[in-house]
Amino acid sequence: MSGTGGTGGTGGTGGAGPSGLSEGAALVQAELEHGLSELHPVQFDVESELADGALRAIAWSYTARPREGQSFLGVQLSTEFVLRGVTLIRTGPDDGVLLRWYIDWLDALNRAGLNAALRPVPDGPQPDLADLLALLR
Amino acid sequence: MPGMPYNLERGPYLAMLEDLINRDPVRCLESLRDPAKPVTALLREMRVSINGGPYKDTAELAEHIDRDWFGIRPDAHDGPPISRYWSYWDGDAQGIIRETVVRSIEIALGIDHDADVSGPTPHRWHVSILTACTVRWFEGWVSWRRVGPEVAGGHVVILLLTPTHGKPAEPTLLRPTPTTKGRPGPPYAINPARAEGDQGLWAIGAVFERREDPVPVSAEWVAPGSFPRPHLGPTYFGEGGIVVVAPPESQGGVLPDGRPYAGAAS
Repeated sequence: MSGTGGTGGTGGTGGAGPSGLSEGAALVQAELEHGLSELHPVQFDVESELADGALRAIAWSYTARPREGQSFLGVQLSTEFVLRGVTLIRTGPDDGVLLRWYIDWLDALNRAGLNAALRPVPDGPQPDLADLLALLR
Repeated sequence: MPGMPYNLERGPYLAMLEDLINRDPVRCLESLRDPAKPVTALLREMRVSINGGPYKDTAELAEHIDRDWFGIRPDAHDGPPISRYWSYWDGDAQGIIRETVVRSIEIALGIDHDADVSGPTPHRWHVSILTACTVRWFEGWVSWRRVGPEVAGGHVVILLLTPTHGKPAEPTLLRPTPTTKGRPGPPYAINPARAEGDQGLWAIGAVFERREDPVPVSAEWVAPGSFPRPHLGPTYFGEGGIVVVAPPESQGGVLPDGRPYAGAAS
């Protein structure tokens, strides 16, 4: 299922909207487009969608390309790429619609040409600034 | 803490290599120009004791470089060497260092690439070597300049840029730290007033680079309109003021009067 339709409502998240996407999927698409405004949307695809009562899970892929002069994740990119993730949507009578985002940022980093080949600092507790300042005396 | 606790270093090993080159650049050049010889042949041929670090002499140091930097496996007789020290990079580190040092010595001697060195050379400039870890791939850089009005005076600087080897860097220039314990050896100094001796290496930075980890973006339920932006890693905050430090030689620093030798160089 794919499309680039508009934002879904915030009441229910299960019904299909005018774009052919479910309201939940349309909400995810709209959040991505607004939340990642440095990207120009190309295509939004729903790969699977599950519902269990008030909880809905949507696995999606979002194809986008950086807008001219803007960077994504701090990197100047020029070609379109695909972002993948799963979004949980919870609908409650009191707190409305809430979302929880699990996005494969590591894959996005790889596609941006970045990786984790950096030098870490030692793990565990950090040095104490007061102890270090004492070394200056 | 083993490894390279500062981001840039010379230390006992590069100081040793530097001295070998500066003592007999022609001999080093001839060795490096011979494709049948490993780069480390010059360390083995001019065996010198090293009173510092885990390798007792240049032959042991050569084994470390062959194994870890160059990926040379004595038991493997076919296929290219695979550098196993570097994360997310495979390539001919030995070839890059060979070409870098060959070019550097040729510049130091004032001769063209591959030119004959059996006769006198126009000059004999001093060669210095430094290495810095973390760029994406292995590169050697050479910088040079004549010093003074006479062509005989000059200096060549080699900077070896390496990919990460994954060993942590201390978030402070000061010593000791919880993970680099013990008294720092010479020529360690904090905010030195004078450049002692004929050579040196100082680092200038914040007293402490405090690490602040981002909140995981998937950790919370958020309302529409609150899309969680990702962080690519911790942010470091330089705190405590600026400090000038002469690192100990054992951690990459430079002794003001050079390395004391415990063995013959040739």
